[in-house]
Amino acid sequence: MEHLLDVQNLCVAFRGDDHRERTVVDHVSFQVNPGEILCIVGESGCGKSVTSLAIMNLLSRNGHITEGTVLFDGQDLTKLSAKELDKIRGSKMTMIFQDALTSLNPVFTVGKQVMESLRIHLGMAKDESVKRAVELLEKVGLPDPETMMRKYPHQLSGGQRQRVMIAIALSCNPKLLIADEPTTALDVTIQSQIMALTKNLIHELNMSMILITHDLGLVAEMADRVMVMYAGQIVETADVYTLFRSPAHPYTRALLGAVPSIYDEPDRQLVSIRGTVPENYEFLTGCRFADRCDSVCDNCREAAAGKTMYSAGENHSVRCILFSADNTRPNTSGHCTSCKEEVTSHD
Amino acid sequence: MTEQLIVENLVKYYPVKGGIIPHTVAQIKAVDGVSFTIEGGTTLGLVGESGCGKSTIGRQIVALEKPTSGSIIFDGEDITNLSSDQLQKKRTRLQMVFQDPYSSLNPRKKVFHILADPMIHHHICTKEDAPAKVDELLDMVGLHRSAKDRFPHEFSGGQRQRIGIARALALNPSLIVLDEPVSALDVSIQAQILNLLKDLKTKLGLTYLFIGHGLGAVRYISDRIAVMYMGKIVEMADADTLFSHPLHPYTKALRDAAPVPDPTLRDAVHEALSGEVGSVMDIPVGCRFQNRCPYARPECGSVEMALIEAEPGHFVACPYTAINTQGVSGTSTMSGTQFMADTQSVSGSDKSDTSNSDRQEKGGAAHV
Repeated sequence: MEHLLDVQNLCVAFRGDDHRERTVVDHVSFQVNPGEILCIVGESGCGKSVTSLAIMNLLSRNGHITEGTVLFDGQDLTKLSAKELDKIRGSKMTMIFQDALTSLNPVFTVGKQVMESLRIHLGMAKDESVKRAVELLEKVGLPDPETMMRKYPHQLSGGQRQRVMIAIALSCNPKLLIADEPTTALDVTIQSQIMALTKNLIHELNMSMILITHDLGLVAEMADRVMVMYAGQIVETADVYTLFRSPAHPYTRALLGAVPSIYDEPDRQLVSIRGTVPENYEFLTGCRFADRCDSVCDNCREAAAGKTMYSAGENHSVRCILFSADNTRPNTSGHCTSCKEEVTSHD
Repeated sequence: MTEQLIVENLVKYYPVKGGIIPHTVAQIKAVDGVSFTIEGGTTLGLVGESGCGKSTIGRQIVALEKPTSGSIIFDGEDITNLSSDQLQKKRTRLQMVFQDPYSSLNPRKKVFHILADPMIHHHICTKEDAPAKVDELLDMVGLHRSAKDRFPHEFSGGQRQRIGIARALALNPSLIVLDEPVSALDVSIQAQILNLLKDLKTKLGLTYLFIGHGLGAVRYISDRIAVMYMGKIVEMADADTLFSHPLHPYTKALRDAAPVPDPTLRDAVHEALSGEVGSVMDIPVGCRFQNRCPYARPECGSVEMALIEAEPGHFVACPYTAINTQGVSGTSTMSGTQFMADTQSVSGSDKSDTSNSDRQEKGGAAHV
């Protein structure tokens, strides 16, 4: 199958106040197939948002793509001029952000903002765009769309604003929607409304979606495929069922063990990951998770560790030397034979 | 076990000023007749969506604000009427940990002073003993002792929250109000802090009021959970029963809306909740959840829902739960009319100016 989006070896660097370059996204490669929902999950600072901004070429002035290609629909987005990009962004590929209030322009009515992209990208006449905008607002479940057209963003609730954002994003029938933490600022009952709406629309319009989130619950609910990021790198990719059933990377395993759920057994003990996410992670040699990992051994700190993704099954790859071909250690919940006594055998 | 905290009929209204000559034009009914108790050494979780009044309750309990009416009895004494001197003494026993570990620590003070100053002020220790006490506190919350010579900005979010917890512990409190202490933290750090709080509770015999919106976290740390909606408690039960066997339609909706980290459960059919939380300035007569409730019936618009004990230790502010769960009306033995006797009818005209005494009567039925 032809990929809709094919990101190869994407590296993004930011220049700090000291004029030093910091690589925050390090050789990220992934594909999005037509009709697929890909979730990028990770903790704050892992590079998941920067990855999505780099795809859209929306990086702030001190950040730039240092390496890699972003093939969207056969075109390399990194090589396009600003003008050419404008034709793609907002029409074929759109994005919604966490905070809908700052993404909407406070001095224009909702109607005007929905109509804007219709008129620019589709060249619609005014009457036609009004009609279409009302349809769109109705489609995203806003009550009384005609009145809604005349309202300003501040008159809407958080959930309504996010619905307007979705209406704008879908206005030109895009092929890919990138949603960066779209419901983090919303209450849980509103979140479930918005996510159900998004999922239905994605399937109805046969679009693809990249959902960026830190909430593993949301991932379980939405994703077809999941990509786990840690310290600027992809550490594991798998389809959603495999990832939750048999997580391979020690980080993914720990992350899943750290999430409390209302369906837990009463005496469940949460697993906490020791330490914190490393800063200045580009200077770490070997596996970037080594300092916090329970299955760590000396090999993990060698330069070769953490450089390659290994296969952990069909369409399941993981950045952990436990899964390399010449590894002799058990790779599920085991400890290293050379460092720790306790070893659980691998099935 | 003795009740350490008894909250009765707590009401907090915030006035909304307006007009050419500024006067009170409306009231925000943030907390509207809430009663609950917390036994010593246990944790009560308070959940609800933003604006439901859960944080307001926390602020009243640590006496940062004076309630409009109602009483808060802590260790046998009503703290709502204390003079500021008396309150000063009480405050050492009542501490709070805030959501935002970035803004709740003074950026110009070193950790040593953040922890030592309150202890010296309240005569918990002398200036000479302070360094030893601070070391002890840092050990307790899992920070390195060298942390005391650093400023808050030098720490990560999780470490700052540990400092916040150490500050709360410095005065040997017996009750700590935890206002969304893990909401601003990453998943892996959340688990660390939740486990730390759990350990400290057992070790020091603390009582917690844990305010949060992450249901998983609240469920993990709480013994009992109260669910709030628009300024009122709608359901309260043991942490295990509340989510396995919810009675109120709102609790059910909240449970079903919370994403569960298990993709095999995602295709389960949930009744999606329609609509949004209404404005607390314009509270509907009768049940506050009626506009969004899938089981709403005409009576819901006229009857003020009081908290009733549907099962031992399980309180719910909906008289029709037995019918709702069975999905059949009329056949249930725990009929709606039986519960209706406990609730009081409110006429439409009372809507905006229900007097305080009225409220207290109504809240009285909601004693827990």
